[in-house]
Amino acid sequence: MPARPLPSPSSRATTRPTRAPPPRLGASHPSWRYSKVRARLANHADGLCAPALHASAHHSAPLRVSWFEGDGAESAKKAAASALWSFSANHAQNQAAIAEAGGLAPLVALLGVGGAETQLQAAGALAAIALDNPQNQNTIATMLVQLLTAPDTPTRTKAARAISNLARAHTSNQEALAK
Amino acid sequence: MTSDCIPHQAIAGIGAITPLVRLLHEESTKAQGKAAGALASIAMGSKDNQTAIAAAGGIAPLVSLLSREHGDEVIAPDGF
Repeated sequence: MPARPLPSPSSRATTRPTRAPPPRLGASHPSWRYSKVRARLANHADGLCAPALHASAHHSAPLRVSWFEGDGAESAKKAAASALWSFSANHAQNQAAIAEAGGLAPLVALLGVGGAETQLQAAGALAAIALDNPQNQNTIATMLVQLLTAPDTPTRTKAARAISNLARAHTSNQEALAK
Repeated sequence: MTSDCIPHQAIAGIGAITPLVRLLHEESTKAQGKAAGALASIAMGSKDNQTAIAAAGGIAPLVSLLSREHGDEVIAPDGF
């Protein structure tokens, strides 16, 4: 929107001098008040992406739309693993609390599935949770060995990948896993 | 001023932990993910904040989030 020319000083002097001059941008329209808000929203909207259609338009069921980029669940899992890593780092009480809350099994499961970044966060979380905590080390190793001896090849393959990720995350895991 | 300039101790000090933990219980995985990310940053390198987040009940919803299968979905409005 082109800026309106400033009123000349003389014309402003004829208006009420005690009053602040009206904003120049869009001042001709009552909606000028909202222009700044809209501009801010537009800035934030840059971070949003166009809705991705999950169903074709001719489908009779209501159209379901995912509003967020990528897989929201995958991104949330990655953030959750990252947070648990952060909570448990050098914090014995939280290491135990996460194990008690049942956090080890889903973290182990994430090691074998999902995106590389999620696997990395899960491996880091498990390494932090297991560090100097023999009980947690034992639980994690037992889970991995169970997966490694599963009857189906895909599960065994995931377990191998999980062990690889975990051993890479921290050298102390190498010793625990080798036992 | 960017968010990088604000020390995480200050963010925790103004009472961010409780609302962030509450956000972990929202339906939206986007909200949950952002809350988890913020809590991860607040806890990093601060024993006090690690303890405070656990005391505020932050661990259980994060464990649930690890097993979440579906992201956000909404029904499209008419005429979309």
